Amino acid sequence: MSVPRLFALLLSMAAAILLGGGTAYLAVRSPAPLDVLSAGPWKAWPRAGTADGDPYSRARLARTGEIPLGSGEGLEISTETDSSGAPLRARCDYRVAGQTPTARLWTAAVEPPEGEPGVPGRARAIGSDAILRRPDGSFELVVSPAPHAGNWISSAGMDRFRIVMRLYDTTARVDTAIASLVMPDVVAEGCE
Amino acid sequence: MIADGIPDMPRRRRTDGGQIAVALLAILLTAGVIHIVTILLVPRFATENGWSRLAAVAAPDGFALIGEGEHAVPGLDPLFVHGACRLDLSAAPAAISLSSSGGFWSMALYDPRGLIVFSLNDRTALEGQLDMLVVTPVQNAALKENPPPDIDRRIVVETNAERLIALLRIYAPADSGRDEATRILEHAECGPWAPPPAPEDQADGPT
Repeated sequence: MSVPRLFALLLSMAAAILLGGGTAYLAVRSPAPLDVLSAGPWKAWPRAGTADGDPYSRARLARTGEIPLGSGEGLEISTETDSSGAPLRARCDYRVAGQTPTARLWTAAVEPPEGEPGVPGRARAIGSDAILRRPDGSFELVVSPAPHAGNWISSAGMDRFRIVMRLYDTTARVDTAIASLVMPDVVAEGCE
Repeated sequence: MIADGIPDMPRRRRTDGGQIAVALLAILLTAGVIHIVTILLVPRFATENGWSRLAAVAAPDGFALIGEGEHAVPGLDPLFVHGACRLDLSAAPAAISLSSSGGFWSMALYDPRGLIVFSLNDRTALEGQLDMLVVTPVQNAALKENPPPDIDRRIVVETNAERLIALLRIYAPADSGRDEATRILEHAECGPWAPPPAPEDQADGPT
């Protein structure tokens, strides 16, 4: 085999490896774009960890190392951006307002973007039983590094973060097959 | 670049185009194969999956409290108290029992791939009391043949996985709730199932 030919072969192999490996990485990175259920900025992977999950979901699960909620437990829904698509940052205040899917209990928490251990501290999370609501049942939750009156969780000490809502004993898993998920809006309120 | 210079000139131009097309096709096909193989192999080579994180803290007998700080398992709800228990069905079925008062809790069984075999929440428990048996298909057949007297109040879960981890999540947003949840965890039973002694099994051996 001539040298140019060998060179071309090596080049082709390198291109194939880059292309194949690169697309595989893109498909299972977190947050994975595949097999996802979206509502505004919110994303959930209801089939994560279930036996009917596809190979992509399994690869993503193995890579992130997350421990998903079972279908009998609930559904985790999270967002890394506000409703306009801008990444969540601790230098901004956010107002999370609206409704959640039907659930017996839900919690909202501020967590680091990808699986790292959380920054310890109080007031990182709030449960639906502690939420003050408007007469129509909707709620408003402020996510800010500084304490606020009313419903508030702290994003202090984190550069980038995500908001994770976990719905327990929820119909969200089955509802979504026919209707769209109703989740609160996340609106940036002023940044430093 | 791909020309090898030896063939006669008139043919060469056609072959060049063809060779490039073939090379591109080969690149795409190989990339496709690499893509698929990578996706399928990721679960096998991922070192830190959910199972290994839980296995590091799970106890073989009873629910071990998953701590905070350096012992924390990332990705769990901060408002919950979590306990993990390791089940081994190779020798005997596993029994899980717990009783709680009122608050929300849920439990899921994970297999070594990190997949959920079974999950439930407190609504399934009768008056706050949960009694569960986790069995392999063979053990389930034996169980049906010779049902223990208390089988009616037990939830029987059949699974092909011999090794499982049960993760119990108890909602405890406040400190007082945490103490109560820790107490529920400590009193919960999880381990090899000992069938209720049948008369002929009762060994009153000499001492």
